Amino acid sequence: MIEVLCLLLGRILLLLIGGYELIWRLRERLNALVVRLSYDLWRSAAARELHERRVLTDCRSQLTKTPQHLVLVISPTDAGVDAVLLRRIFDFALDVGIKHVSLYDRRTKDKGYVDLADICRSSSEEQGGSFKWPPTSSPSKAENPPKNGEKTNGYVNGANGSHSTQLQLYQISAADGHALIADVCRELYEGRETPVVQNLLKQKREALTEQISDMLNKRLGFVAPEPELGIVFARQTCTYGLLPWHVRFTEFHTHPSGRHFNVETFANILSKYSRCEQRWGT
Amino acid sequence: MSWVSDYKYTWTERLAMRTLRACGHIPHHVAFVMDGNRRFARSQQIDKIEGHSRGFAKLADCLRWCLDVGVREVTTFAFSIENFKRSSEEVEGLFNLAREKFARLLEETARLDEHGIRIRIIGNIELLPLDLQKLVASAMLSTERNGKLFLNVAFAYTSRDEITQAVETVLRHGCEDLAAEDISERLLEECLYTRHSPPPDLVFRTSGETRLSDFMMWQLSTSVLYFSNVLWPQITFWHFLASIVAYQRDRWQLEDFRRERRMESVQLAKTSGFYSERVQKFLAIIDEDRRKLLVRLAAN
Repeated sequence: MIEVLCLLLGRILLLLIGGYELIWRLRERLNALVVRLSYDLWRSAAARELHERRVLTDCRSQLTKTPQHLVLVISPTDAGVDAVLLRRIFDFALDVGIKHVSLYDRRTKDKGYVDLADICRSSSEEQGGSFKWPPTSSPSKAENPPKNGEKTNGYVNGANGSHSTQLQLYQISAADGHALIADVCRELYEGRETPVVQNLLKQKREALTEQISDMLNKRLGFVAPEPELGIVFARQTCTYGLLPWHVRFTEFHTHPSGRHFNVETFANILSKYSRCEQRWGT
Repeated sequence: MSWVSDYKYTWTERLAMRTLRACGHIPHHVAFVMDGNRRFARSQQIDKIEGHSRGFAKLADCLRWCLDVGVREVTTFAFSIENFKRSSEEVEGLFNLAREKFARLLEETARLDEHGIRIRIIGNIELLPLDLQKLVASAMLSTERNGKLFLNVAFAYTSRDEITQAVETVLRHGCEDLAAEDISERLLEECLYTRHSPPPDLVFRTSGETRLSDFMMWQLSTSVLYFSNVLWPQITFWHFLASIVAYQRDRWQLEDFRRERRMESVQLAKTSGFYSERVQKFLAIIDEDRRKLLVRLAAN
């Protein structure tokens, strides 16, 4: 009897969750449409830009810290993020003083995958190149990044104030995750008889950690600190295999697919990030 | 306080649990980041160590809930390598708590055997004080035959250290037979501390933080991440059930991605010679070495 009751309640629960999901999606779509109509289409481009600038200026003045490196994670099923939205996010980022943005788009080409090269090409034609991609090769480490084992564990606890005129973009692919670490391991293994590797094995484990970090950053072309803030465009929070070595202290914020993303959303996420306190284990 | 509590369910909790079990998929492996013990202690104006102790009591409740709801593997983040930076007083207090709990565990192995619970400590055990190393190794060895519920306690752990350890294992042990082309992410995965565990289906972090704090970064690439504002010592059965419902709601959206990853992993294992005799021999050596280390530490 109890089993039947539980089964019945379970079915009702499933129906309620399904119904809630459906209503939620419809509401978000409707909301996005209304916001887009009132916000984007009924204002001139200049008025919109002015409004965005004002919101971002207000936001910047209230932040106690700004991430230097933002990562955008797009789930394989997301349908809301396109090149236009990404360009706007890059503009917002540039405006608040973020220096590096990484894009991790898990979609396939036929499902809306965005290539940064296209965005940067059109940007350089229109704006004289505010976005920089691909990253300049050379240094394998971030600009004055704190070394591992220092107070911030290779991270910087946000920055405040400094304003950049160019945004460095990185396109992260699935192959930059676990496979890249295996690639580094393979290279070290091939050189296992060399004094460098032998020396690493004689030292404390931190030396090998540092070496792996350097080799990974070199392969990624990272001239950036590790991402401090991540925005996941999905219905649920998941890393989708994003850079397991680099995002260990990244603050993740999930923006549900289908919900409208505008300058206020961006400012809210930054405000939340600014309120987070990293304790670095202490 | 025992490792598995004698939690007394109310009838509504019992009904809710049965309902969830009857209607949806229960995650096989749940990982907990038990955050908020110190903030709880501050809010209650009690000592930090008492806060950690209350946190352990909640872990015992949580294990009972997991066991009853049908979760088969639990991983908890108990102590990060980064936590060594805390005051020596707090670190020593945490070690004393661990000493007390592992000693208790060794006393109640019969109870753990009854529930079929196997304890595994994942982390750089050699960073711990010698007496604690001995207790930890003994706890792992004394429950190694159990297989109904696996409890992995991440102690002196960070994910980065774990991945480095995997690379180091390949460099140190792979000299004889292993070829460079055998090294793939599939092989590295088998060199992690979690070699015998499936990846977590659900990661539950308390205290409102939305970062992963260097916990299982390799393993959680397909996990549902669930963040709750409640402080760990204040977690209730209903928070736990809410995370299971969230998992049931979200898992189907990740199912295609997971299937794709599984297929890629199988394909990679085939192409990188993962099932070759030399790779399997290498993995057997690692297992043997790890067990020898435990026996040595337990005998010290």
